[in-house]
Amino acid sequence: MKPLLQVEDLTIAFVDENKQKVVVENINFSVGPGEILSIVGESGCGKSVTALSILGLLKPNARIIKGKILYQGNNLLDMSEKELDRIRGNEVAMIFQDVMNSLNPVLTIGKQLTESIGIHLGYDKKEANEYAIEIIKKVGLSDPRSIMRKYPHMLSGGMQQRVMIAMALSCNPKLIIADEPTTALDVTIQLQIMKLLVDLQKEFQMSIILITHDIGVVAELADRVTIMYAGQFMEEASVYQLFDKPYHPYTNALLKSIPSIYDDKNRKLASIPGTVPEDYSAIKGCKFADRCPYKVPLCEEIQVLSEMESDHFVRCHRAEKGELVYE
Amino acid sequence: MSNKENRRPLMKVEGLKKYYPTKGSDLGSYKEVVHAVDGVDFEIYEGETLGIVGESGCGKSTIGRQLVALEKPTEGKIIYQGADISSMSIRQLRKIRTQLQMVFQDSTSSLNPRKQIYDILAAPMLYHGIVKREDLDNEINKLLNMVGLPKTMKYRYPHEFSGGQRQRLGIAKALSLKPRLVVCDEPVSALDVSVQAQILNLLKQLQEELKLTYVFIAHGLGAVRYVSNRIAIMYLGKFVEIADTNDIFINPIHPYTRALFDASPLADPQLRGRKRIVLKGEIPSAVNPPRGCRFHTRCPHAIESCSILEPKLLPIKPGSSHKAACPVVLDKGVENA
Repeated sequence: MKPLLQVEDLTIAFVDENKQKVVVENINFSVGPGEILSIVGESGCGKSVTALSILGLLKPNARIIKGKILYQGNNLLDMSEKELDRIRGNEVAMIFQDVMNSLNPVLTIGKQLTESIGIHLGYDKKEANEYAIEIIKKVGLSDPRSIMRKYPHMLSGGMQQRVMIAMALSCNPKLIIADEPTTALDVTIQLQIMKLLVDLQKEFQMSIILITHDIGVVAELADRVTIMYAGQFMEEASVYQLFDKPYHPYTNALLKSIPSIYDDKNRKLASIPGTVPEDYSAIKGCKFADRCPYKVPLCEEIQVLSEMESDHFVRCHRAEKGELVYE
Repeated sequence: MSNKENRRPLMKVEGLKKYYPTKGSDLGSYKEVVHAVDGVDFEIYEGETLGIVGESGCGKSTIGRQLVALEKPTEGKIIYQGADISSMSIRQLRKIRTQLQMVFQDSTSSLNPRKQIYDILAAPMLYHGIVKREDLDNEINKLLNMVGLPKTMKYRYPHEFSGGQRQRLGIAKALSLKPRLVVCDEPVSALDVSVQAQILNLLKQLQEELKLTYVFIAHGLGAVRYVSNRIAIMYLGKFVEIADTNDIFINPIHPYTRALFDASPLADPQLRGRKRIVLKGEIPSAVNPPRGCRFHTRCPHAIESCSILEPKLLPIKPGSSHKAACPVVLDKGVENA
């Protein structure tokens, strides 16, 4: 199966005056048709920057140093703004965490939806209206006509998130990039939105890149998972492989540090000492080494991703040699 | 806190209500009232952690603020050491404030950005006469050490700390006044997972060392289960269920409790297909809460009487400390409701 999106050796840096700070380092991944790929990591690990780079939405101080982002074989990085506009929305759409900042507060929901439908699908006003109503129904909002007349602030957080999803869906994209789509929501609403995403993904045969820090959401939704730390992928595997047998010490610690509602209360929660380094671009060897309980001198050397089992990759020389056994 | 017979209440809350007037309409005259907390009774036992769980807007943080006397309740009593703190004057409150402290979710806004940590920690202790000036240095070193920060950090400003470190400072600040009750309002929600575990473990360890009583307010069920001895589930200003932690997780009674547990994502992809309740709709507004049982508009088990009679929080068996506010389930049992 040919991948829909393929990212090769992507390296992104923040540049100010004469300093350059690499925030995403040599990452490679691909998303197949109908696949949900999750990029997991803590704040500041570079996952959102990766997401934004795909649609050319990086802030001016971020530079793509090298790499390719191939969408159906064409490099998005070589495209002009005009060519990109044909991809954005039509082919690849994005859902953001912060809905309030992505909806225009002074336009009605109807206006915002029909505008993009008009531009992308070339519908006239009436057609766009009817189509918008259909889409609003699709995302599970009742009384679509009254929703169309409302302004964003008149809707609850869950409803706003549904409107965002409706906007993203409106032009039948093949790929949706969802950056923390449920993080701001309450759990019962989060469950509704997760179900909605999966249902729509199946119905429309879409691919999704799910950016999140929430391991629980990943376990519920993803097909494949990559664990990102300090700008690098530390581990990549199918969701079942990863939860069943994590290889990287960071992945292992991450999985063990979540208190579960079905947990024995007396188990002491594993915590990772320290915090994510702020400027990690200068670290040559393993970026996690300073917080890793399994650190040895060799960790100061450059670490590479290697395949442990079919399609299960890890960036840790000790895991690769089979030296690490977790409880 | 395993010995149930020895439970001594540190605080007793009776009929607590807190209403907030909204700002009113554009015309100014018409005012609405938000029923943030609407009749809640409970006790907090010495040395325990009482978890209060609910979704945003359910009133859990409002309860927290009343417990430490940051606000006065609209109705009801909060009995602490035999006196009702909700009817105390500011002068009377000053004497007990040190004993009732709070750790906030957003530690950044509770630390003055223009002051060094030393001064932030020193001012309240000096004001309340907790330490003498000559012992101050020592005391601050001790506090920082207690929350796992190097004492060399005391001359830094809040912005020089990471989120997890700032939360440690928030804890140090609360503990500096030697409190007996600490209300932790979403203390880990803003933190990364790997750091959340650090803070939860720190809170547990400090509780043991200092014999503290906690009220732990949060929406993350996993974290609440990890730290709490008892848990209260809240929905639209009311408790719908309260029980010992193990009891509530093994035998959840109220349909909302069960829906909330079901909605909590599990870190195990093998359990993806599990059967679970998906609630329809959203939490109704607290301005006009539904009549009868407040959950009946979303409840899969609601019957006609649910929209008329307001259910009381009752023991699920005579004498049980596990209480739930759902006559339907209590009558028919969880399986048949």
